[in-house]
Amino acid sequence: MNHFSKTFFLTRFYLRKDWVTLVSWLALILLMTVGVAAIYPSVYPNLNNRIAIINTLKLPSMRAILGPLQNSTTSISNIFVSELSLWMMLLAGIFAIILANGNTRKQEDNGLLEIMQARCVGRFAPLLATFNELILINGLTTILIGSGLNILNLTGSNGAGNWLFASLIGVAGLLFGSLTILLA
Amino acid sequence: MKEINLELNSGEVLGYIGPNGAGKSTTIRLILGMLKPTSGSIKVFGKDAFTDAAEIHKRISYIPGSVYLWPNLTGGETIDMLLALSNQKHTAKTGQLIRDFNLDITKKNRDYSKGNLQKVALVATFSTEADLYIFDEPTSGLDPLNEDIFQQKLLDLKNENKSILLSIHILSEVERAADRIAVINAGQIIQSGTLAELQNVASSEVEVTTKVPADQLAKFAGVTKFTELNSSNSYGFSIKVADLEPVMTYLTKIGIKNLSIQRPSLDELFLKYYNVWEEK
Repeated sequence: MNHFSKTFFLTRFYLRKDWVTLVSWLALILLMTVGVAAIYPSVYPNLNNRIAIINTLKLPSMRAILGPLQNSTTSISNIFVSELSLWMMLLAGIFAIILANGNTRKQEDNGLLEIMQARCVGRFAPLLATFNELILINGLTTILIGSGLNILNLTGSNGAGNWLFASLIGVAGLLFGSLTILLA
Repeated sequence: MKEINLELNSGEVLGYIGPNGAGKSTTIRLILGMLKPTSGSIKVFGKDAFTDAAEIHKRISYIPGSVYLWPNLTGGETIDMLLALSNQKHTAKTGQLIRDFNLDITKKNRDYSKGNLQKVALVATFSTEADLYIFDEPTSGLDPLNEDIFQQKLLDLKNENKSILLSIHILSEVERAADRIAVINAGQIIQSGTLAELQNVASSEVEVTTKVPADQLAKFAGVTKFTELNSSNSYGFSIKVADLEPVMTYLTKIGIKNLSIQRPSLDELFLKYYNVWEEK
């Protein structure tokens, strides 16, 4: 018995409790990344399309929204990463905030935390369990997106790049989630 | 909160009563180590309530005032979950409790009415093996039938020599089970003792019919609210138990035809203590 007792029990419990949300979230983000990646070659079928979109992305207004273009290669993967990374990070962040908030702040507000902590649950266990859940779900997101992109193997992509993009989204989720836990 | 002195021995039921917002739940949270006292100390089973909370909670079973439970779990899952959090399992006792409270455990928590949700929490609380049971407003939302079952289960626990802290604002429920009672108002214990002790402080209502007119009655010390009733030689008055003896001696001397003494109910005590406290 210490401040962390029942952490793993609670982690498992949270995963089971939230499984519908978690699965729908995974499905959504996979659709938005791997799914979009799968149709990108048909969105920009020829070189002219790709040059046009790269030029658009170079416009100051687009730079203001999506950030500077890292290179000017006209590969599908370059366009994909430039357009999507910011949105996907935001999406992952929002989801992580909702998840973390539901298991911390909300549970405290409606008295569930009190019921749990009156039992043999360590003082930090519910918080740590939420953090574990975030690590797991974002880790899974990273692995699934990374594998998905590697299977699709877009022109101009390579393994390292795919995993980098996937980790970016996973880490963004973890970051926003952890901030929520910190502030809750 | 100030001047809170509570002591609970094993096998004892302490009724903890007070109006809404008096500090009942705050006291309980202090005992459970969820809040840290700014001064003073709280010892549960001889351990500090805040620093040794986890150790103490092994021997405590608690039900909060307003019960909210994970909406997408069924009642049965919730009970098992709560038991597991206390390192315990669904036992025959749990099953018996579910039957006694007539609880449908297959429904999800979000579909339960307030009373049924309360029953889920009660079953979990009662079926947890502990040395100290803490109930915070346990009967809110329960119908009289289930309230009766609750009282019965409470007495069962008492017979098993468990300690019970029963925080409540409905007094008749404390009257049945509590050995000792503490009255709290505005964060201060204003009275504590056994029910009999508390009743001695308050006045009893006496109605008496005597054989001859009792003209001296009103002059006795401690006789208040003296009235002559409609029928002849009938009187009503209130008196403290301590002052009763000389009055009774006088009444016996002149001859009693009919006598009824109404001991103060807890509700009257309750109101009395609040009034006394507010006058201060």
